[in-house]
Amino acid sequence: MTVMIALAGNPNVGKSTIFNALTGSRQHVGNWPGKTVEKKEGRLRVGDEEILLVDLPGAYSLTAYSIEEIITRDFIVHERPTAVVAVVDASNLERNLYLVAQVLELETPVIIVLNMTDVASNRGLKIDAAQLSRRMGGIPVVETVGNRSLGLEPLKQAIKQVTENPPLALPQAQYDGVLGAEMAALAAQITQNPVLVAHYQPRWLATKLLENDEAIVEALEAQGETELLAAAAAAQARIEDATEDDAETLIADQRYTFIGDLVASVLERPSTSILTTSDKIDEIVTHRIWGLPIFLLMMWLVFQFTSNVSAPFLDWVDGFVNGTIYGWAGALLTAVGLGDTWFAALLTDGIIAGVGGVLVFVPVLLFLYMALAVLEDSGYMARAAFVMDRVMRWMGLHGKSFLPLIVGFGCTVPAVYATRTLENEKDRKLTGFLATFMSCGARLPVYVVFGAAFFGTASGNLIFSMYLVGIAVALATGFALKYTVYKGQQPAPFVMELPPYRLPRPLDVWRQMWERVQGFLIKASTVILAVSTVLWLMMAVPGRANAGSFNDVAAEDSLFAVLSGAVSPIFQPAGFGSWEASGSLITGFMAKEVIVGTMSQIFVGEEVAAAEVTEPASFGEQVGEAVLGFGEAAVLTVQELLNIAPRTINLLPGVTLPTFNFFGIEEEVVDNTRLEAALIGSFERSAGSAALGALAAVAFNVFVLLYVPCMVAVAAMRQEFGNRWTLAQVGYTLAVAWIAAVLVFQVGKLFI
Amino acid sequence: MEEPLNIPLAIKEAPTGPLLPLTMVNRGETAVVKKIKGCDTVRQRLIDLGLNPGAKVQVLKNEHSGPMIVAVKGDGRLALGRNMTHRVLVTAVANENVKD
Repeated sequence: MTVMIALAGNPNVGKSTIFNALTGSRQHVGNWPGKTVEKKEGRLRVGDEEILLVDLPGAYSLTAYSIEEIITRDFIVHERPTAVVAVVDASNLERNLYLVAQVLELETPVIIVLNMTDVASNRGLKIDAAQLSRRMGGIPVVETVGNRSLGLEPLKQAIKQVTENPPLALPQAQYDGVLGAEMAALAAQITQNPVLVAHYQPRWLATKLLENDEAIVEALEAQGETELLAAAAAAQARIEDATEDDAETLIADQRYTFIGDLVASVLERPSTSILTTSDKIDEIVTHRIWGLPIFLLMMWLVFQFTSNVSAPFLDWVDGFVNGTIYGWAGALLTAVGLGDTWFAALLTDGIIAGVGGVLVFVPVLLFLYMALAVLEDSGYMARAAFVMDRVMRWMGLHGKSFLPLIVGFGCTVPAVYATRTLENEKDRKLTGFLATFMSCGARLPVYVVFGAAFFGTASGNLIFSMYLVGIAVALATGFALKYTVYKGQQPAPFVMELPPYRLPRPLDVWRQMWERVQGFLIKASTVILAVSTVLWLMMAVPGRANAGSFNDVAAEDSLFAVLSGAVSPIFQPAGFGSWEASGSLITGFMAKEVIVGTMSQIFVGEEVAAAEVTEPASFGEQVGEAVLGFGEAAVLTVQELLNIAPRTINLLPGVTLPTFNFFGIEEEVVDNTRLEAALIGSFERSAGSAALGALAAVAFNVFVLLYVPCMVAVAAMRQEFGNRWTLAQVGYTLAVAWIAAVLVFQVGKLFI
Repeated sequence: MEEPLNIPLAIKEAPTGPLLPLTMVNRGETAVVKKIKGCDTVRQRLIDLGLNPGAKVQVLKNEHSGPMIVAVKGDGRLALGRNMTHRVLVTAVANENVKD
C-alpha cells in the first residue's frame, strides 16, 4: 500500500507551488484566495518509497463553511491520510496556525511547512522554527520559500521521518474548566459507540458537537444518534449557564489562546507598527476615489496587451499555418499521388482550414492568460474585488463574486468552478450565470476576424465594445434578478482575505499560461478536429438532388448548407440570415472558436480555387522566411509593448504622443485575406447592402458573445448547479442573444 | 489623500469602554472584539479568519460606505462588507492612549 500524504493550508499560502515543486506536476497557482477547488494528486519518491501526495483545497478552518472546506475536512476525517503537510504562511503565522491546531485535534500527524519565509523576513519577522517544533511536541517544522523551491529536501526528509515513525503524542489546544469537563464526558460517550468510533476521532467529534457544526449534526441525525445529540445540547446549555458564553466561542477562544502562546514564544517582531508596504499600496489602490480609475486603467492595459501586443504573432502564425503549412501539405499530397483526391480535400480544406483557423489565435490567448496570471499572482485581483464590491452590489452580489467573473474573461469553464469559493448557494448560481456573459478567450477570435474584415484598423473598437456589451448584459441581468427572482434577499456577507502583494514568479505565470492554452490545444485537437471532419463531410455530400456528387458539390448545395439554411430565417431580422452564418453558429455550440474554423472551411474551401497563385519558393526559402517572420514578429511585439505607454497617455484629451514604428511600415489599409473578403461578401448579401453588411456583422458578433457558452461550459454548469438552472440559463442566453442581435440590426438600420 | 497611518502593535491595558459595532471604529484606531451577532455560520467564519472575541483588530480603511479593511492577528488583512462589520461588537481603544 502506498503512503498517502495530504497537503493542507489556508488559501493562498503557496500550497500549489510546493505541490508542484514536490511532484513536478503542472497545477495552477495564484495569489487570490481560493484557487484549488478540487483536490489534485501527484506522486513523490522519497528514498525508495512512493508516496501519494494529495493537494487539498485551501481552507481557513475545518468548519464546513464553503464547498472547498468541506472537501478538505471530509478528506482528512474519512480518508485518514498518514500525515498532513500543513503549509503555513510565515508572514501571517498566528492566523494560519488556527487550521493546524484543528488538524492536530483530528489526531493526524502533522508536518508544518513555514512557507513564504522571504516575505516574513522582508518585514523583519523572525521565526524560531526549532523552538516552534519543540513547543509543538517535536513535530517537524520545515522552512521553505515555495517560490524558489528552497527547503524541499528537508521537507522530503520530514515526510520520510513521519511516515516511518509516526509521533505518539500530538500537541493540542487544552480545553479547561467546564468546557474541558463536558468535552471529555461527551468524548467518553462517543468512545462507547463502535459505529461512530469507526468514522470519527471521539474527541474531535465531541468538539464539533459542542461547536454545533451543521454538517456533523445533520450526519448524526441521519444516523439516528438522537441520544448523543441530546447529550451535546444539554452540555452546551450547562456550559452557557456556567460561563455566560456559548461553547463555540469558548472553543475558538481557547484554541486561539493555545496558538497565541505558541506564537509569542517563537515570533519576534522588530517594529511597533503593524503597517507593511502592502498596506501603503492599498491606501492608493483601494482608495475611495482613485480605486476605480486605477482598476479601469489596469483593465485597459490588459486589453492593450492582449489585442495589440499579440497582433504581430497572430499575423505570423496565420501566414505560417494557412500559407506555408497549407502549401506544404498540398505539395506533399501531390508528390505522393494523392493530389486532387477527396483525401487531399479533407486534409487541406477540412482539417488544416478548420483546426488551423483556430490555432491562429494561440498567441492572443497566451497574452491574455499572461495578463490575467500576472494580475492574480501579484495580489491585485483581490483588490479589484474590493474596489468592485460597490458595483457588484447593484447585482445583489458582493466583491468576491467578481473573481469568477474576471476568470470568465479567460474561459467560462474555470469561472463556473471558481464560484465554489463563494459560500452562498444563491451567490454561486447567480455568479455562474453572469460569468457566461463575460467574453471568454474563445469568442475573441470571432471579433478579431470580423473586426479586421469590416472595420480594418478600427477593429479594436469592435472588440472592446463586445467586452462592454457583455458586462452591460451581465449587469442588467443581475439587476433584473435582484428585483425579481431574488427580491427581498440580502446579499451574502462579504469577507475576503487580502493577500500581501508579491512579485509574480515567471515560472508560475508561464505554468498558468501553458496550462490554459493546453486546454485550448486539446480542444483544437479533439473537438475542433472532429467538428472540422464532420463539417467537411457534410459539405462534401450534396444536399439537393442533381446538385453534384461526393466531393464535387458547390458549397451552397451541400448537405450542411441545406440543413443550416432551414434555421437561417430565424436570423433574418438580425441581418445575418445566411446559411453560412447559421451553420457556424450551430457548430459554435461545440466551442465558440469553431465559428471561425467553420467559416474558414466554408469560405476558404470554397474560394481556394480562386486563390492567387503564389510564386513557387523552394522549401529552404520558405523555412527561412518563416524564421525571419518570427523574428520580425518578436521585434514588433516589443514595439507594441512600448507603444502601450504613448497610447495610454494619448487617452488624455489634447495629448498626442507619437508611437514607435521600428520598421517604418505604414499601417496596412486594406489587406483582406480570403476569409475576410468572403465574409464581407456573405454579410452584404444577407443584409442587403454594404453599410448594412457591417451592421449585420456587429449583430452577429453580439449574438456570438451572448448565446449559450460552449458545450463544455454547459456541462460544467450542469455539474455545479443542476439541470433546471442550466436549462434556464441556456434558454435565457439564447433569447437574450437573439433579442440583442435583432435590436442592434433594426435600431442601427434607422441610423444608416 | 489622508495622512499616513501609524498604528502601534501593542496596547497597554485592556479597554473597558462601551460596546459599539466595528463600523463605528475610525481608520487608524484599534479595537478589541467582544461579541459577534448573527447566525452561527457567519460568526464561525469571522472566528476562523481571526476575529474571535478577545482578538485585537486595527482598522486600516473605513470610508463610511463600502467595505472596510482591518488587520487581524497582526499580519492578516481582511476586507469586510459593512453588513458584516455591523455585527462585530468591539470596544475601541483610542490611539493616543496606546503609545508604547
